[in-house]
Amino acid sequence: MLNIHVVAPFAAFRTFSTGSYRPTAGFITYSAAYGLLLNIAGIEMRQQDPKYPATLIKKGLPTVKIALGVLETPGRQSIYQQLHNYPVGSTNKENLVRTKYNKNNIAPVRRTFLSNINAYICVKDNLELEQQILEGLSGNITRSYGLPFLGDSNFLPDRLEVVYELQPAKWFIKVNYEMRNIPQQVERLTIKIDRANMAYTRAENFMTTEVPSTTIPEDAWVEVGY
Amino acid sequence: MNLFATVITHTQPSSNYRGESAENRTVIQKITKGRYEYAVISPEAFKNALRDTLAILGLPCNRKRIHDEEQLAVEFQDYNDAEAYADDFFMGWMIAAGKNDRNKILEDIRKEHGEERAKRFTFKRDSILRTNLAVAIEPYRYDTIFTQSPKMLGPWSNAENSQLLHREVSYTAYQYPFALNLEDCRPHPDWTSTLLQAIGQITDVSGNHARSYFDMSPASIVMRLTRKLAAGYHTYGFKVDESEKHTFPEVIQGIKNNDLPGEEFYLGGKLVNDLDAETKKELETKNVHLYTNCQILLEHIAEQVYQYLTSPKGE
Repeated sequence: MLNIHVVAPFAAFRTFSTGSYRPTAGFITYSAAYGLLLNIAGIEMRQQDPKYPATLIKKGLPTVKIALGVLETPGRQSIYQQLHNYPVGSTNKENLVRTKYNKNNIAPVRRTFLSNINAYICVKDNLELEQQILEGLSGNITRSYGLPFLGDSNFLPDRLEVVYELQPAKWFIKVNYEMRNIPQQVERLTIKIDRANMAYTRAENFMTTEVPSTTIPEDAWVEVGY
Repeated sequence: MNLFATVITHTQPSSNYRGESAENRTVIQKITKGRYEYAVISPEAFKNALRDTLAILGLPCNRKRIHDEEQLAVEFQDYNDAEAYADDFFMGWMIAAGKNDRNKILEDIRKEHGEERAKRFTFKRDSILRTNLAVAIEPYRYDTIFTQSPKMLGPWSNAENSQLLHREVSYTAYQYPFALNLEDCRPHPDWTSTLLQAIGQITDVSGNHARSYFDMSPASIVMRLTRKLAAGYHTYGFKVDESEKHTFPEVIQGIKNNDLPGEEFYLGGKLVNDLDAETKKELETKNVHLYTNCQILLEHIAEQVYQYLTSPKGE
């Protein structure tokens, strides 16, 4: 098992959305945590397929169990920005030539993001990947994968550190609707995404344990892999 | 090797980065930290100004802003190419094209630039340069300035009356981090060197600079050259006290306590000028690189980075 302490001033974990309000999940999603781990390990997960404008995810990537611990509840922020986009339909299509097929329109949107991320990403059941993550964190591998980020390439972590002794944290567990006392704050976190076919994207509802603990509950572990 | 840095500007009046106007009030954008609101400037606004600065310093840039349009507008002079254009190289691009458009684009490139360029063309490229929000040091104190825009007569008249404006203003310094994975920069050591120097001279960041000049260049800077994947300290760690003294307690204390390796750190500007003699001496014994001027620090780093990038990998 490997525990990584992640501290970041800002982060954004976009749900699939369009329009003038760009939401973020309320915490690191399992799919984003998995992407971060592979980035640290220097494992390329992106795949370009000319049939799809979106970047796809490779098959055959390592499977691992991930648990997410909350040391501090992140703040939620939003700013109003002029965002470059492709207009829907045939609007302004003539501008595509002028922008050489880059986004050819500007529209005002409200972008949300999180602040003060202080979290644990814990992994188990894949020793090989854990070793690669350790190598990556110590800077022992030559990287050609940019720098690790949290959902938006501008949002870098301040700290990515292996910890051997956990501080008390609230752990995300799946919401079981047979439970009594389901809290008001339930987060829908993506586990696995599929940009080619949204129907194969997997997300579930999670809640945090009520009392901070140094022990990771068994039902906090979620398997992720492609 | 990775480079992490935090820049802080001088304290000055700012109404740079505006959001949704409320009636005649021009609102600056803020985030909430603890009990207060703090003005922010987006990384996108910073990158836009940096692109202009790179062009002024003579680097080839693909994208430019067109100022005389009905709405905000940019123009590309060519299809994206990280080998030909510095802004494409550092800031990347994304073209979301379906199959037909993809074929057309590749055909266009083939016709205009030949087979080799079409082969190396990609529809997406990540930004090598990573920046983050610039956040005000001082909380927003609900300061506004009341100004008036005159009624314009003649053929250029665009309103029936003169306009009264409430402009929100924050008197503050801003701090922002930026980072580079130097292995990504290896194809263009000369451009990378210019990029670092450009950060030392950056200005005209975000929308309101045409009316009120805001100098975004560094008053102080903390840089770390390391193999680590994260900075390892709070990248918004600058503090400014009542007398406008700059400090970065976590890094300075961390180096003193041997929690952070002094030889990886470069400190510059007001931060160094404000150090007491004892701390300065202690940092020097820990091999910290100290510069009284940020632009000179950036020039020296640029030189060092150039040498690293032109040497074999891993040196």
